[in-house]
Amino acid sequence: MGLSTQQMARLSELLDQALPMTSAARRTWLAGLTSEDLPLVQSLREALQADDPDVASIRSLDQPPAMDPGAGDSVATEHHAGERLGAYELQRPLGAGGMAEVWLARRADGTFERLVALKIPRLSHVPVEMAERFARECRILATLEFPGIARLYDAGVEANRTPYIAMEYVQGEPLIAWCDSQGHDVRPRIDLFLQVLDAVGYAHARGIVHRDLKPSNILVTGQGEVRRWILAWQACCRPTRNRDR
Amino acid sequence: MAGAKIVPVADLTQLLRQAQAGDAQARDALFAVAYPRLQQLARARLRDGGRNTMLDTRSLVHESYLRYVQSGELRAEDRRAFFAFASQVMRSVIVNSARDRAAQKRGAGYRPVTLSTGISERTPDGEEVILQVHEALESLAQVDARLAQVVQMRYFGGYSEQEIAETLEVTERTVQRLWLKARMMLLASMQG
Repeated sequence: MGLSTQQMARLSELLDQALPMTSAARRTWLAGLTSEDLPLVQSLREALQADDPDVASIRSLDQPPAMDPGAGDSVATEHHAGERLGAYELQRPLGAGGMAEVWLARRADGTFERLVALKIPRLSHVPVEMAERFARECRILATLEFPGIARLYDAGVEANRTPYIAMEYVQGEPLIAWCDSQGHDVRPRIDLFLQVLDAVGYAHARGIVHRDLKPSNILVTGQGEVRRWILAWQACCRPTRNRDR
Repeated sequence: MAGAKIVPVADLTQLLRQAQAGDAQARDALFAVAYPRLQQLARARLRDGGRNTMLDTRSLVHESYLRYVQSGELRAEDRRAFFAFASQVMRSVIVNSARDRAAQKRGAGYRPVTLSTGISERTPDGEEVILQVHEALESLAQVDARLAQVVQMRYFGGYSEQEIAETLEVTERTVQRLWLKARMMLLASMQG
């Protein structure tokens, strides 16, 4: 990654020349750099653009790094076990990425016992109007009912504007890992592939695209028979019927 | 710090002075003494604060400095040297914690769902940024040790510009200038 030590040293010299200049003078100066400095010009231009306290990239380093007690326990999450979202009570995190968390949750309003995978997008990354839209389109997805597709049970927006979706909790292994662990050759893999196509075809026929279909999104359940593919969150936002984007 | 020699804690002031004078062995010994204690403090603080807390490294360094002084292990006039040194320890605590977390994410077994939404998908997770800054800082240190020192104190130590100015014995304006240039260099190195 990045620049060599020599390049860093040269960049340092060049910045020393450029920093005291006005922005107009810098432009002239940049244009007059000799060919041996050309590989650095782009870096230099970007660096100098950052000479503005409002530029996000330069501010990004102003905050001390966020820390997690981590080391030894589970993934970092914004939500916590026992928290209620709608009718669901969070039990344990199944996964967390930069954009969303997924929790194993149970229905806690006494209507019925059911474990679900509850996806909660990190709201700090989601524009407010998206939250409503998210919930609306999830309801469309909830109409999908097919053996190869994880059911979407419910979606909602908590009073504090935290959106969530409750999906069927699928305990399975990602497609490729499963095939490898079974020592499958081409034929059974093709069989699985055809099952995935069936499920995709079903969704497409209803005007819904997945938009992030890949082996790691396809889980093979314990019986080795029923295959699920999991709808990535963005699928919720983009039924193909919405031709405006 | 396996294999490091046990150092009587009362020698902290002595070690600090030797380390400052460029004695690498004293530096290692100092690290061996202070690292576990600062790390312990950091962890305890994080437990109290719950998850995803911003670790207030700055007050942590202050607190440990006071403890060392109160227990007679450190003389008050060594404050500057201690602060310069402590930011290095904090960096190490933070980087190690980030490495643990990154390893955990990679090794945490299957994640049954993909969480991408397409919105700012390229934003790296916190620990990736930390590790990138750490690496970029290594090369920056070879080019300009003072710039690297400023980054270490500002980013990893969380010190104020005034504190950095006192530690380095320069004006605050100089610290601001150095910090701006250091950030430019880091960003160029991280993106380049």
